[in-house]
Amino acid sequence: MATDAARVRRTPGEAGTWVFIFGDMTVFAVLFATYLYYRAEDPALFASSQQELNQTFGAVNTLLLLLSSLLVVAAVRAVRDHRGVAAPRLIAGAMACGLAFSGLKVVEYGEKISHDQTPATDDFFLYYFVLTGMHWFHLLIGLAVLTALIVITRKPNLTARQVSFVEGGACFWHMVDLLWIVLFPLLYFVR
Amino acid sequence: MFGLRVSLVWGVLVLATIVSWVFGSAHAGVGYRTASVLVIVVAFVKIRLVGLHFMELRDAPLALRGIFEGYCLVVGSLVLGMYLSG
Amino acid sequence: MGRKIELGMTWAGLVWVILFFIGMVPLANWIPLPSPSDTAAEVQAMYVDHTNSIRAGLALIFTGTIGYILFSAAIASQCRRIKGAPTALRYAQVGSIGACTLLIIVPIIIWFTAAYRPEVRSAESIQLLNDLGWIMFIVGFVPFVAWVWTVGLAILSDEDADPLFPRWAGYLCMLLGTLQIPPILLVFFQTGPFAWNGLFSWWIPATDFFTFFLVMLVLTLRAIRRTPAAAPEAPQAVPELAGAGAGTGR
Repeated sequence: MATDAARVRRTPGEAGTWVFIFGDMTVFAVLFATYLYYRAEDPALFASSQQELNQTFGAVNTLLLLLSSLLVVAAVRAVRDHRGVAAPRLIAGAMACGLAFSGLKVVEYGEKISHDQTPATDDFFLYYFVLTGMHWFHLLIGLAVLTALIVITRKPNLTARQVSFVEGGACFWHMVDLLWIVLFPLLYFVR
Repeated sequence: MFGLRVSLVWGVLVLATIVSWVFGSAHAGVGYRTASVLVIVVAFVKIRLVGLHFMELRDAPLALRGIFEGYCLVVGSLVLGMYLSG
Repeated sequence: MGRKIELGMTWAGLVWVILFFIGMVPLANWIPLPSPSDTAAEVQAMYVDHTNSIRAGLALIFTGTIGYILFSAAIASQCRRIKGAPTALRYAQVGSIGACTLLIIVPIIIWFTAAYRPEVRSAESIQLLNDLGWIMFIVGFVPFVAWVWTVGLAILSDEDADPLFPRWAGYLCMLLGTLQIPPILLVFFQTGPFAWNGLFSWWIPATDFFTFFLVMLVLTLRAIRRTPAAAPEAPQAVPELAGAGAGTGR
């Protein structure tokens, strides 16, 4: 790609995408603050309930999302370099990571619920389920966006607007990754 | 396929995830409070890397990049501040 | 003339917003919202002590909702002019507008009932009506999300090089629609940020909803004014199957 000396500043995706992404990120910032606010009310309870979480799930999910982000970056590059066949496959790979994340989430939730750790158990589990659930909802929207990107990138020639949409959709997926990078340590480690 | 820069950034992100994992789960010689602060700082450094290199905000118009950098700084400080005061 | 009526219908949305605030803030004194954790006696006392101001405030919002219907029809009518917007989006808009209207006026009727003879009813029955009204009003986001999303999708589907609505507005609609969903959590909570008076169930969705209103007010007025004055129906020369639903006011 361009060297640092000759960089041209350009907006990734459509400008409007960033209204959505920053808006969403701001709402999550409020959620982080909400979590910390309730944690401060009862730090002992939060610390002890947090011990019940299985950090392996969270860490593996972080790695899955990082891998999916890398694949999406590669897909965007493939679109720009007109390597037609590569992009849909790379995006499908990213979706596989997203599905694996979802599979682990189901197993993790199932394990929690089977141990009677539900949103009704205490404030920690309440916010654990609300925050991870909202994030998961975004991931599912992200999977729908990636499906749309596969449909678009299968076409041999993309219009400028379609390339923009691919970039914007890719950024949405990176946002899902980005939010999890904060949520994971906040819920699983910070005590 | 990704370029050297993106590959390096990705390697750093994976490494940071594993380091946080070790620090967060085992006490790794430091108190849990120090470990928590480290883990929070690492998380916000990581999201900055994701934004700049994966979302390509590094090359975005300064206003857009500025909003993102501002987000990392403000939300990072907020989380850290609320943690330390809580 | 048709264009003037459409402009008027769009302004009616602002009338609704103004009446909503007058009704809610000084009259009913319901902002901040009554708390779901209030006891039955406290809820009854609120209705007994402020019976007439609650009735009057609600009556304003109730009547003003006519403006809501006109406004949302004006948006649907402009979406019809978007080049390439699928007809199905307009069906979804028109259908959800009807449901949205009911989800504004039915809770008001329930509160009217609570404020009808609060002094002779049991505190528990007043509380039941109050809960029913608020839960329906705040959790009733389903058609609102469908409405805002389909407006957003219609804006984004514009194939014109010079789109009728700016594309950022389409993305904004997608965000504003999505932010209406967290109130689903209110059914689990009586206190905190997800309770019906909390940050995620009331403050964020309410700000979001009125942002949508004001942004769409300005953009719809602009879109209507872009109609070629000589031949306002020119882009619609070919009659469409869905035209009847969305063409209110013409």
